[in-house]
Amino acid sequence: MRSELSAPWTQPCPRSAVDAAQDLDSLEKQCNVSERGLRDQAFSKARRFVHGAQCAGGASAPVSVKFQNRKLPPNNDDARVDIEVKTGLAFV
Amino acid sequence: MSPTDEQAKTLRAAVRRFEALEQSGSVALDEEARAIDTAIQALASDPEFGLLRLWNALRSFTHPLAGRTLSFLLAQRQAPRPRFAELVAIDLMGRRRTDDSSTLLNLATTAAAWLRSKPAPPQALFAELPQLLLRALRQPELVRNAALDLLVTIADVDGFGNMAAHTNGALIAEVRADDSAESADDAAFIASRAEGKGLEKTEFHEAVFRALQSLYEDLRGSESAIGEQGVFVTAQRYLQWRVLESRARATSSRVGFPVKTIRVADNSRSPAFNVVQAVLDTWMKFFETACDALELSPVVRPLEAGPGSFVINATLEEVTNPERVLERLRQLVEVGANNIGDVLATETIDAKTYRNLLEVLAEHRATLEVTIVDAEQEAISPLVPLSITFATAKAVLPPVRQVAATTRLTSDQIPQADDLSRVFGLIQLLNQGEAITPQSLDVSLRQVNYYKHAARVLGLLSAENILTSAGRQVARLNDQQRRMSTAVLFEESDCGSAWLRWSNVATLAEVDPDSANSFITHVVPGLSAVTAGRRAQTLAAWQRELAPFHYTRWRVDDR
Repeated sequence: MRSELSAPWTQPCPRSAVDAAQDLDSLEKQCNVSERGLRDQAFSKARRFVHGAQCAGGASAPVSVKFQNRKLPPNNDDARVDIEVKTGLAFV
Repeated sequence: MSPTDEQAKTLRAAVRRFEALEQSGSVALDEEARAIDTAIQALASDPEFGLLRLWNALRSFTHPLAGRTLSFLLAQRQAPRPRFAELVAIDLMGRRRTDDSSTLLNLATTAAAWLRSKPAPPQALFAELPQLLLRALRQPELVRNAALDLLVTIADVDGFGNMAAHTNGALIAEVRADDSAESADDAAFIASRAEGKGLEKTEFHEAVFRALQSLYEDLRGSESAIGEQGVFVTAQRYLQWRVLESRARATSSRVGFPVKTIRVADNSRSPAFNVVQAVLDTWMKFFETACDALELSPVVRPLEAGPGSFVINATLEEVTNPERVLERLRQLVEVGANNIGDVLATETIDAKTYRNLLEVLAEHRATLEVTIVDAEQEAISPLVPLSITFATAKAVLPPVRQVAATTRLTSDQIPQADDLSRVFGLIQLLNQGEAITPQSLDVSLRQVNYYKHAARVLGLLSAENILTSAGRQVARLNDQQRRMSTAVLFEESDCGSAWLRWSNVATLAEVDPDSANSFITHVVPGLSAVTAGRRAQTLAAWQRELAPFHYTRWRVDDR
């Protein structure tokens, strides 16, 4: 299984929530069935986070959040979706 | 344990970035980004102690980016956890008590990850989680959801067995307040797991904070090579105060760490507690007014007390040159009884506070010695120590009393905190049992002391900074009633009533606010022009704010 898929961005203006939602969609599509199954709740929570950030006027850096499914098999208990904002504001 | 040159350089660069933000209060994205980057680099270059060093350098900063970045470093690096990560996290949760969204998110992410991983987080984490969760649950959806996720994790992993039972009730109430369908299942699950669970525990963060300080002090002991940069050092220089009984002949010397006290005469005994208390109390007031006169505002912190004759070490924060103060006071003490009256009349020294100190020393036949110890060089400063024996005190008291009698107020009786709303905020926090911190008042550490002092001047706090009955009453009033009440309190205070008498008017409402500077210069001749100006600004601001609420201007409706 691939260890990491990511969708980094660097841009002069804050990343919009719409773009971030598309990033999440794109990442989820890149997952195979098994990977997706281990992260379905995590992706939902990540989308909820992006939406919440948009409602709050954005997420200010630096912030790091990690989402996981409630029940994970012991050998895949590190399967998760991470969002990190290292600079500025995101998800407006 | 000493950092390499490269590590030291990286850490210093990071701290300078944050210092610049702290001083400017800037929210410029590029400056913030550089500060974050340098902090990440600092931890990467010094994985062993970098976090502890950063924590120490940033812990008193009020700029939100300081706490946010520390919490981000914790959230980002979870496996393996950086050394001291748990203590730093607990300190951030317990002491900083921020409402900054990103900091709360980072801390919630950190806590959730630790709960799911090995080794299990320390028990102390559970003592701080309820406060973090309660603050997060009261935030908008973004942070509230993170709190709910963390609560679900706690319910899954720990079943609330380690949380304090009394806080679980408050958490359940907050969780149930969320009526959104999306959270309903989570809320029901959390409530079902948390109800009736938990242990009774006391707050832990102070102990953790002390443990961190102690760890840092141990670490600092071997870092003298980079001490002068200020990144690693907060207590290399400290004042040593010695309170000796008159019969004790101290020929002691003391060097940095470890302490080395040589001898106290055989016929000596430790001074009684009330003597130590009285001497330190009057000395502190005298020392503070002397610093005031030199435009210095040190934050004095006791470090430790030694055996034998009573010895206390204290740090002076925000003062780089304590010799200046000590030398000035030493010269004052060395002026004989014949000339002290003239010196006090011309020097900016508060005669009343000096008299109070001398009275205490004379009454208890006690001797006070003050020495500057340079821990970095492990040597006592070459400066001659300040020493006031009871015999000196007795000899100079009569002329000092004479000068003091002409001074109507001490500088300690005049407030220096312009914003009355902050005074009320402080009282309200205390009434709610909350800690008074720079963060909770949104001011610097030095200003926290000014606002406590202002509350004491008004009689809202006792000398020990405990709410008086007037303080509790003011905390219960609404904004208008507070000002009405405070107008009377200020009018009745030593400072307010002296201003009335000096102005030859009957009420505060009649006082001319522009006369504040002349009034202070007249009644406290020992204050420097700048300090007098600052205090006058406070008096004028209070008069202008309170006069419209004065009882002479009340209408029937107001009452």
